[in-house]
Amino acid sequence: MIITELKDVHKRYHLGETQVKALCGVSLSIAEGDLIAVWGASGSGKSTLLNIIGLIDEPSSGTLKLNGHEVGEMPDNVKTDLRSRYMGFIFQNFNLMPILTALENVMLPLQVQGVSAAEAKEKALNCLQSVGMERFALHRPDKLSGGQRQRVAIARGLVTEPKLLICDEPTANLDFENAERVMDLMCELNQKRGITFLFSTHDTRLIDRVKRIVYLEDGTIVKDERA
Amino acid sequence: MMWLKFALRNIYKNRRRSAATILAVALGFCSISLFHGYTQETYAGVATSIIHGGGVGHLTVFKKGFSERGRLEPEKYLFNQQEIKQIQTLVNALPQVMLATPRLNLSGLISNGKTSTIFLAQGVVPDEDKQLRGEFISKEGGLDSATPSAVQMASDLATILELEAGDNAVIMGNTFSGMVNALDVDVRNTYNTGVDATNDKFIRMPLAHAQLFYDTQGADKLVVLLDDIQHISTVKSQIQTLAKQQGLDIEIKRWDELASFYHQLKAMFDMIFLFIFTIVIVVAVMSVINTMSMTVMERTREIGTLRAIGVRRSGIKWLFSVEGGVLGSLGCTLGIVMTILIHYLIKSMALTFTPPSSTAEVTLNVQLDIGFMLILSLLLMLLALLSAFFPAKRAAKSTIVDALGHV
Ligand SMILES: Nc1ncnc2c1ncn2[C@@H]1O[C@H](COP(=O)(O)OP(=O)(O)OP(=O)(O)O)[C@@H](O)[C@H]1O
Ligand SMILES: [Mg+2]
Repeated sequence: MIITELKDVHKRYHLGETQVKALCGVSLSIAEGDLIAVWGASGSGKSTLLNIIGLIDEPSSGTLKLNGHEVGEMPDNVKTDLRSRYMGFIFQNFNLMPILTALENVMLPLQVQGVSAAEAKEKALNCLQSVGMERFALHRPDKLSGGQRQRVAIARGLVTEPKLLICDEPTANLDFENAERVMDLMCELNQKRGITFLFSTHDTRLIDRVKRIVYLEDGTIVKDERA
Repeated sequence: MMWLKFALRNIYKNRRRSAATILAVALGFCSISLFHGYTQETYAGVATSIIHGGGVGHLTVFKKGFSERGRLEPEKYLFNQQEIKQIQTLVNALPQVMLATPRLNLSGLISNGKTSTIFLAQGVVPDEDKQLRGEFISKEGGLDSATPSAVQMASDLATILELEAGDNAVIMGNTFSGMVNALDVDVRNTYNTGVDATNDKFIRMPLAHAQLFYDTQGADKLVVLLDDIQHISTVKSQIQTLAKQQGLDIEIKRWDELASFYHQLKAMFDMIFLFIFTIVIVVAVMSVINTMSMTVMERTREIGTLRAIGVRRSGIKWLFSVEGGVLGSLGCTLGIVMTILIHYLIKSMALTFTPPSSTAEVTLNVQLDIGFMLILSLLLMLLALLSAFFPAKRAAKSTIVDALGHV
C-alpha cells in the first residue's frame, strides 16, 4: 500500500537574482511499513524533500500524491487537516511547547483534532509509556534532557496514529548514545507496530539498521538502496 | 478552551512584560473612568445648582411669545391672577409636580441716597422659594412674606452701594402703565449668586413687593419643581396637552434651555473628555500591540510547529487573540478595582476646589458609573483582542517552513 508518491518533483528557491535548485526531479514512493533514511550532505535537499512530503512545503513542479490523491492545489485548510490526520512530525530541535507539560504536549495533536481531553490524556499516556517517558509526564520540557525531549516529541508524533512519521534529523541535536536510543526506538516502533518512518540524517553510523536508504546529492536521488 | 490555557500560561510565563501591559491598560481604564465620573458629577452638580440654587426649577411656564417679545412689552405677556390660579391647579394635579410658583422679574435703578446703579430683581413667593431652594437657602435665612420690603442683595451690589444688612435703599423704575415709581427696600442679608456677572446686580424680594413696584397683580412666569429630573420630558408634554385643552396659550422651557451656560460647559468638558479618552486609549492599545507583536515574533517557531501538527491558520489567530483579550480583561479588572479604590479615597479626603466662573467652593467628587465602566471594559478588551489579531494574522499567513526557522 503506497502512502505517498512523488513524481519528478522540482523545488527552486529565489534568493534575489539567483535561483537555488533544492530539488531537481525527485521521484519516490513510500509504502506502508517502510523505514526510510534520507542520507545526504548538508545542503543536499533533505529537509526540502521531507517538508514537501509532509505537506508543509510545496513543490515548484511535479506531482505529489497522498493515498492516491493528488495534493497539488488543495486549499490550506484541507492540507492542514491532511497533516493532522496522516502525518506526524519530529523535528531536529524537538519543538515542544515550553508552557505545556510532557503529557500536555503529547495530548496537543489530538486536541487539535477535537478529541476530548479525557480520551486524549489516555492515549497520550499510552504513547509516553511506549517511549519510556511515562514517569516524566508532568515535567515541562525545560526540565528534560535532549534525549528525553526527543522521546516526548516522538510520542507526540505517534499519538494520532499517523500513516507516516516524518523526522528531519531527529538525532542531530543528541549525543551518539541518545541518538542510538532514538534510533532503537524508531526501529522497534517500526517492527512491532508497523509505523512508517521517513527520517533524514547525515550520520552514517545510524543507517546500517535501516530497511531502505535514499541517497541525495545536490537535489537528486543518486541511490535508492533496500537492505 | 485550549487556547485559553495557552494564553494564561504564556501570560504567566512572561509575567513581567504582561504585568507592564496589564498596568498600562488598567491605568488607562482608571484615568478614563475617573475623568468620566468627574464630568458626570460636574454635570449633575451644575444641574442641581441651576435648578435649586439658581431657583430655575425644572420647568418654567411663560405666556406664548414671552421669549421673543417679553422683554420689549412685558405687560402684554403677564399672567393675571386668575391665569396664575388656573395654571397652578392644572400643574399641581400631576403627581410628579412638587410645586408651581409665580415669579415676577423687574429691573430699574437702585440708590443708596448718594449713588445709584442698575439692578435686576426677582420677585418670589417666599415660602415656596424656600421649598424650591432647599439646602441652597442662605444661612441667614430666606425672604419672609410678613416683611415684603426686606430683600436679599447680591454681595457685590451691596459692596458697590456700601450697604450692609439692616441698611435701606430706594429702587426706582416705571410701572407697566408708564408712571414713575420708587419703593423703599431693606437689606435683610446679602448672598453670593455664584457668578461674577450677576453678583453685582441681583436682588431677590417677595413677590408682593415686586408687584407693587410694577403696580400689577400678575406674574411673568411660573416655575415648576418636579420630584425627579428624569420626569422633565413627560411632565412638559403633559402640561402642554392639559393647557391646550383648557385654551391656555403658553410656552414651557426646560431648565437647561434657560441656562445655556450648562450646554457650553458640557460641550467643553465633553471635548476635553474626548481628547483625553483618545490619547489614553491610544497609549494603552499601543502597549498591547507592542507586547503582542513581540510575543508573536518570539513564538514564530511555535506557530510553525502548531501549523505542522494540524492547527489551521484560524487557530493561530485565535491563540493570540485570546491572549490579547485576556491581557485586556485583566487590565480592565485591575482598572475597575483601582477606580473604585480611588473613588473612595477622594470621597474620604473631601477635597474642595473653586470651579471656573464661580465664586463658591465645591467638594471634589467622582461618580462611579458602572454602566460606563462595563462598556469601557468591553471596548478595551475588543481593542486588545484586535491588537493581537493583526500580528497573529500576519504570522499565520507566512509559510510553515519559514516559521519553523529555515529548517
Ligand atoms: N527558504 C529557503 N530559501 C532559499 N534557499 C533555501 C531555502 N531553504 C533551503 N534552501 C536551499 O536549498 C538547498 C537545500 O536545502 P535543505 O535545507 O533542503 O538541505 P539539507 O540537506 O536539509 O541541509 P542540512 O543538512 O544542512 O539541513 C540548500 O542549498 C539551501 O541553501
Ligand atoms: Mg535540513
